Amino acid sequence: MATHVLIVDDEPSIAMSLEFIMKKQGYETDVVDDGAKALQRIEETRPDVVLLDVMLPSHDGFEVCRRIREREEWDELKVLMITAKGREEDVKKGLAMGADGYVTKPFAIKDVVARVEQLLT
Amino acid sequence: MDPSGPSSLRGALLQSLLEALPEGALVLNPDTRVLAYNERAEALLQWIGPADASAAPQEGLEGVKAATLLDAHLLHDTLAEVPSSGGQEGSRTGATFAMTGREGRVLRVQARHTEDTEAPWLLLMERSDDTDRPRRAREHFLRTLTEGMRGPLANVRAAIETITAYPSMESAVEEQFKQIILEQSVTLSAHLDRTLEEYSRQLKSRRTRDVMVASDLLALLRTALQQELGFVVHTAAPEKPVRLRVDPYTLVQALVHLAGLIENAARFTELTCALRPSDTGAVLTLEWAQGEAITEDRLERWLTQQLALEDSVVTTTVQEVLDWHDATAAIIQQEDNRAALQVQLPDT
Repeated sequence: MATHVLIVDDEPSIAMSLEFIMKKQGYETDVVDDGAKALQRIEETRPDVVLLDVMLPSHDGFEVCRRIREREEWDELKVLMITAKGREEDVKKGLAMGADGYVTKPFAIKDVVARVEQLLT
Repeated sequence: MDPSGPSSLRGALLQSLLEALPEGALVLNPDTRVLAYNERAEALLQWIGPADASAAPQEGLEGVKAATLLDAHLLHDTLAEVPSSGGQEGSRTGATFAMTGREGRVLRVQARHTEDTEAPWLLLMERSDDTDRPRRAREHFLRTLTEGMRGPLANVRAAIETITAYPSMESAVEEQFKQIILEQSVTLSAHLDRTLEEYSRQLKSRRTRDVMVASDLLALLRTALQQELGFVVHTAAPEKPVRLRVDPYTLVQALVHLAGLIENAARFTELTCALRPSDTGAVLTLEWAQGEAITEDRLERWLTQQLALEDSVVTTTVQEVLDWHDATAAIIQQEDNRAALQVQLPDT
């Protein structure tokens, strides 16, 4: 079964690129555009990796990450936060909420692919 | 709303916006009670000291009447004159006042009207002598600029990299990516223009004249003269309340500079500062026992000497500060071998 990547970003442009590239890498993908939908989709589809934007409608990425980590049954789920907030305290906050990695925009697409592969090994 | 615990999405978004502001911010409800505030507002209100010490909140500001935190009369009058956000007031977006607190500290308060009926007032506060303001404004500018660029730039970069990595993609998909590049480039340009325009506006409005009670200005001048020049300063405040529109920090620095030059020539150790109402505003008088006579020519030279204000990167002159206040200065020779500098200040 293909590895499932959930892309959570309210910016369709970046979501389109990420989805395209992940599919080309052989991943099964799914895209949602807000925090509440992300939690619901995780419940429904149990993805392996979540590419999680920080600035989201409803719950922000930090809050989504915190709620993911509250659920023991989602322990195996890898969370890579993707954000326009590049300050050190934002990175620390993301990691403190339980993210497995943090990528700052603008990023190289191949770096995101590499980070996902790294998280899955 | 407690800054550490916003309870709703709207509240969380508002709190994030407030915390990103370089100024202290209070959001008020129609009854002028505090609905939301940022940490800087709390720090500034502690710095200035409570307007009504007995009413000072023990914990947090939420629900506190703004009139107990700030000068009640100035706040009331300022809110009454704030143009509505949709009004025909040209470029005016708010009204300001300055209030003094303990140890001659001056707080600048700008009141703005919002379109939110539940939160119709926004008060932005900063120290009038805030030498740290340019640095914070630069940091705010850089953060706004970079964070606002990261998103569109990421979209452009990802689209270009995707097209490059997969040159044989379907032409319809490639067209979509090209459209992203075009749209996001436009977004990027607009963000740059908007951010630069905002920063430029901030720089231009860096110093403004605020409504201030004359006796507060006098107290501020006295403190500055004593601290900077070591004079014994006597003051005489007007018997009835007079309000002026001044930038207290700049005006006081200019007057202290001028008083220093006069003292150097006239060799006095005591100064009497008085403020009395006049037909066109108020007259500020700095009076001393006559030493060497100060001629008008000499005063003219002093007024046009370069003066470096503490929080500015550009120099100015006392005359420029006076002109900006629509004020005039003259030396008056008085009876009993006394002389005085008279500064005519217009009313509000």
